[in-house]
Amino acid sequence: MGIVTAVLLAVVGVLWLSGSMETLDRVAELLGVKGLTLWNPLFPDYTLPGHEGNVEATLVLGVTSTLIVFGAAYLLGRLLIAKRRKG
Amino acid sequence: MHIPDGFLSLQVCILTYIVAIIFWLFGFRGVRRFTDERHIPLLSPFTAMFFAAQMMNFPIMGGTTAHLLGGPILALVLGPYAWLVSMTVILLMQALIFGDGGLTTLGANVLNIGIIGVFIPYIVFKIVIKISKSRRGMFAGAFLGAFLGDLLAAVFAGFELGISVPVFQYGILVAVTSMVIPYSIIGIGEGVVTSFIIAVLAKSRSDLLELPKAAPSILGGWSYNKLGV
Repeated sequence: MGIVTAVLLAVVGVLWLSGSMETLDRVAELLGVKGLTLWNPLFPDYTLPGHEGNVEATLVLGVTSTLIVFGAAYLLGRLLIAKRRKG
Repeated sequence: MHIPDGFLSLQVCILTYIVAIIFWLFGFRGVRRFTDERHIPLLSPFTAMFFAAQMMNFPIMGGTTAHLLGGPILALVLGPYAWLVSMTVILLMQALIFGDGGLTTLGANVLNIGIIGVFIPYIVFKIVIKISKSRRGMFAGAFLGAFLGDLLAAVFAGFELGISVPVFQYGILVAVTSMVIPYSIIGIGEGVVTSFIIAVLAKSRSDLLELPKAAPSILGGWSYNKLGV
């Protein structure tokens, strides 16, 4: 149930609620603060390079990344429990 | 709320990393100590849910947006250390894969979203239920805690920007004010969502509210069954 909700939130977020600028970015822009690029992320700004504006690609990326986070949290939880059993 | 690379001075980055590392040491140990098989079905979907929820930028004012942090609900159900671990997974993924939040500012983002945004709701919630000793008070505590958690996370983010001279030259007041106003609005939403999920769990799966809480011993846990109606 939780993972279904997570995927639904990702779909809504990608389709309808990801267009506007976040408050911190707007404040930074107004006050002339510029960020640095120290790392080139695989999917900058939650978009597939070369497919910016492609809703289907962004949707697949949003859902896939949500499932990856689910898997990472699951594995980390299992790992921490296993360590406690050993301890 | 995610601070990108280049927005904070080196001193602030180092200081916030030190605080984050201390909490990570205690947090991972705390989760290992208190977490068992019953927590996993909640920990992983909640982590995924609030990763997705952070993609949802709600329009606030003047063309800007803000997103839910998500920490309060997991902190209340599983304990603040549990959300610190979850949020670390989320922030690392957001920074490394999507460039949302920086790597030099990871300590600051963990401090604001994974520590302030989690421990404040938990502490406020505990104070309110201790005073009210009722299930109604539990909903009020969940709302107030989540609201104040978001608000103080924004205050801290603004403060870190404000003291990052010469990167940011407008001072603490301008930075804090510009963060607090929008996040006080999203804080109301966070409070409603947190209270709502607590109410749903209380009605349908109150056993989940009885799970051991991964929290510092000084804060302790809480029990839904010991609250009056």
